[in-house]
Parts: sequence; structure tokens; C-alpha cells
Amino acid sequence: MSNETETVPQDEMHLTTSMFYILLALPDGPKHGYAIMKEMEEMTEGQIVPGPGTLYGSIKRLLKARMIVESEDRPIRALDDERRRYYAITDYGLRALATEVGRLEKAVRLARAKAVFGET
Amino acid sequence: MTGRLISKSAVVRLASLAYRAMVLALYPAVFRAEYEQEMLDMFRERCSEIYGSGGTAQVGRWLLPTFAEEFRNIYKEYRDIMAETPKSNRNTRGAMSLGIVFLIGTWGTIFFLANEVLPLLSDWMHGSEAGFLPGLLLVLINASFVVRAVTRSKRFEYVAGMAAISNIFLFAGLIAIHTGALNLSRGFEFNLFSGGMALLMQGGLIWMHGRLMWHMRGEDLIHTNLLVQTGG
Repeated sequence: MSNETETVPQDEMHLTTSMFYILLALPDGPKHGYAIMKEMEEMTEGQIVPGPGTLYGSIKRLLKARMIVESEDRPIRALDDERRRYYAITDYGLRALATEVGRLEKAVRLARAKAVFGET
Repeated sequence: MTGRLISKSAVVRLASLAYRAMVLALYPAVFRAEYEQEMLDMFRERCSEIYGSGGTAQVGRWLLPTFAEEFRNIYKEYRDIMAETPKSNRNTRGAMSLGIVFLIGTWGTIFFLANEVLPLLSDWMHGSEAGFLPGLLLVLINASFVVRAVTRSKRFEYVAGMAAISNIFLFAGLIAIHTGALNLSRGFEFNLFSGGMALLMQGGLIWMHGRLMWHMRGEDLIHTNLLVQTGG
């Protein structure tokens, strides 16, 4: 992970669903595009499986926002596919993810308070 | 031996070919340069996986929403490019001109298919063959713009010139056809209207083609062309 120290600006915090799940797929280590897609499929139980355009479009935006970087860390030679590029989350990306998760938690708390889930 | 009618490799190859030609080719050149190979690899892997889970039918069901999703992404990529391009560098008039060309081309093509080609097919032996050739030409001419835009190859530069010249011939042909059509049984008013509209369309096309040939060249033309096609 890179050592960027900026804070996450409020107006740059908006993450699309795909961007959110891409970031969520990366804290446990760098992954290539297909592995990110598989992880997203697993995390969302098949509900979110991005196509190549959605995935790489989001990757492009996350790279531009410096929330992820192309990683130099590659798996051992036997598991490595040289054609693939691996992506890793940056500290800035982690903070953006944490901020988004916090925002979602707050929304869920609010929804519970308003009995959206049918609770009393 | 899978027992399936079409082999996995054939299905994956065909789907990948379609994906490359119909989807990847439409992405902006900068995006393609960066991600084309990875996207294609990912598509192949996914396609192969889908085939494994449900065969050709499942791949077919998966392709439609996948392609639809891709077209939305293509739009987003061009929108990003537009947002990043300083207003002073935008060729808004050129883009609008191309938009109108495509609008006219599409309208003209549909018009002729409905007006000339379809009646001909239903009454092949007795109908007016005269309508078939211009209808087909119009389709090909306007398709040539798409081919050039998709391939982005300078080798296809000549297509625009050919399209402009062909349209002049087509224009002349249409005058003859619609003059003749006045005598057919559809009624004077209908043919006057259809002929007039077609001539107007073709006139517009020729003007636009000429204008584009003079004012825009190469990548600029293709780039703007695609911007218009994708609503960027």
C-alpha cells in the first residue's frame, strides 16, 4: 500500500457501487481484474458481477483518484500471469472506503430507527 | 466430449469476436490502449465459465445484458473525455454536424427500407426493382461511416470520399426513381412527399459529407464521430 497522507475530501467521497466493492476486494492483497470480479461475485453472493467495461472503467477512475495503484507485488512465478496487471489499495483508498462504510453504517442505523426493516 | 452441439472453444471464440468487434472497438482509443487486452481476457474467461455452467443458451442469455452494460460504459468513457477536454478544444459544430449526418442517414435508410426495399421483397417479380439498388446503396454508404469509425484505421479514410461521391450518384438516381414513382399506383401526393423528403435527406447528406471532408480529418473526424454516436 502506498503511504499517501491526504485526507479524503468530502466532495470526492462518492463511490459508485462497483468502485466500493473493488476497494473492498483489495485490502487483503493486490489482485488482478478477473480476481477482483470473482471476489465481488463472492462478496455479494452473485448480485454484483461487473462486466469488463464496468470493472476497468471503475479501476481507471480509482487509479485516477489515487485510491488504488498498479502493484509491483506479484504472486510466485508459478501462479503469476505476466499479462495481468495487479492492483493494490492505497492508504487514501482505505480511508475513502472506511468513510463510505461509516456513511453506510449511519444510513443503516437511521433506517433501523425508522423501522424500515419492520422492527419495532 | 461434452455432447453439446457447439464446442466450448467455438462459442467462446465467436462471442469474443463479437465482443471485440461490436463493443471493444467502440471504446475511446485511449481507453482501449490501456485496457483492451485485459478486458478481452476477462470476457473470455467469464464466457468460458458461463458456458461451463449452462452451455450455449446460457452464454446467449449472458451476452445481451453484458453488451447493454458495455454500451452504457462506452457512453461514460466518452463523457469523461468530453469533461476532460477544454471547451476551446471541442469541435462542437463538427460533432453536431456528424450527429445530423447520422440522424439523416438512419432516417433515410429506414425510409428507403420501408418505402422501396420491403415492398420489393413482397412483390419481387412485379415490383419496381429500381428501388432496391438505392436502398441497398444507402445502407452500405451509411454503414461505411460506422465501419470507419469502428476500425479507426487511416486505411479507411477513402471510405468517406467514396461515400460522398456515391451519394451524388445516389442523389441523381433518386431523382429518376421518384420522378418515375409519381406514375405508380400509390398516389401523387404520397410520392411527391416521399420523393421530396428523400431528396432533402440526400441533399443534406451530400452537404454534410462535403463539409466534413473539408473541415475535419483523420482521428479528429473519427473521434468526434464516435462522440456523437455515443451521445458524448
